[in-house]
Amino acid sequence: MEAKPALAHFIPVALRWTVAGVLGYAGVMKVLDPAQFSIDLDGYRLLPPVGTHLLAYYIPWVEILCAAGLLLGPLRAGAWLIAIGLSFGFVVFLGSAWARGLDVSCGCFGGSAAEPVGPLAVGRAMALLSVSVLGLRWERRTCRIKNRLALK
Amino acid sequence: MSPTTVLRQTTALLLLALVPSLLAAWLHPKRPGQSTGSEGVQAIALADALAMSDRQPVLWIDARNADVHHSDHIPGSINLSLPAWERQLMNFVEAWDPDQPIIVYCDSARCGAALSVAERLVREFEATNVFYLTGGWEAWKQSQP
Repeated sequence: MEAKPALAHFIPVALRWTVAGVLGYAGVMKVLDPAQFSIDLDGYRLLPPVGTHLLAYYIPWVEILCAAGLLLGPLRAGAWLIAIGLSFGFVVFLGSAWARGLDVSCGCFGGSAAEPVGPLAVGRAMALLSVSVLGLRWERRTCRIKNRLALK
Repeated sequence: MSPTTVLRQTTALLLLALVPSLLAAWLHPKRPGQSTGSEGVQAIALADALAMSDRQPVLWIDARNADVHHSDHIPGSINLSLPAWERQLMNFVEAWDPDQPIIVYCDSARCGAALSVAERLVREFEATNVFYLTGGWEAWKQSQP
């Protein structure tokens, strides 16, 4: 009977660390070379050059702060919502490039890990999106329970 | 936890991310828009590239993926793309003469892979005379009768 609460505690923590790890690593790798990330974004042919330049600076830091928010606590629910937004954006970009048959590097983890757009990258983004949705739901539920206990 | 709280937290994180982003835009050594022509790589238009290849032997490198390369490519070009770098590198090593100019191309003016491959060749092989074709495969295809 004691295994269930332990598992219920462990799974959300593991998911949170996994999402934070993926986003944090991706962010750091992109921060190292915004020029390369801008080239990767440009390859998707969805944004004008000025848009890719701005996103190349901004997205990596959003990923890093989102990862920090997931790990540190006080802004965790907001971090989950950002994780949902980011992974939804990844799904749209990767899915559209894959559907159009574009021959581009996905830019998922910066320029040093050139990976083509394909089912693996799209699947990973969809998994990230699903986990982030679950994470936000779990976070809100936990807060509700804590608030009820505090009221008692 | 109310939706307002979640949105407030999200806004705080997004605003916080602006600070390092702006600093990076100001100070980062690898800023977007500055990599063109960096690391010894020069842009070359198709007409100039063809004129160069008429004057001297040129090594054409196709930075697109292998399946696209196999379906059609500039005659004589070898395939070297970032995703398959390790696997295809031997083709380049065998074909490369250090005195020969290298022209790298990808899909079009917007693909970016040609510049990345060209920069990597300069970094890893200290290749000189490395160019990337500005119009890419599209420009070459349009120039064909």
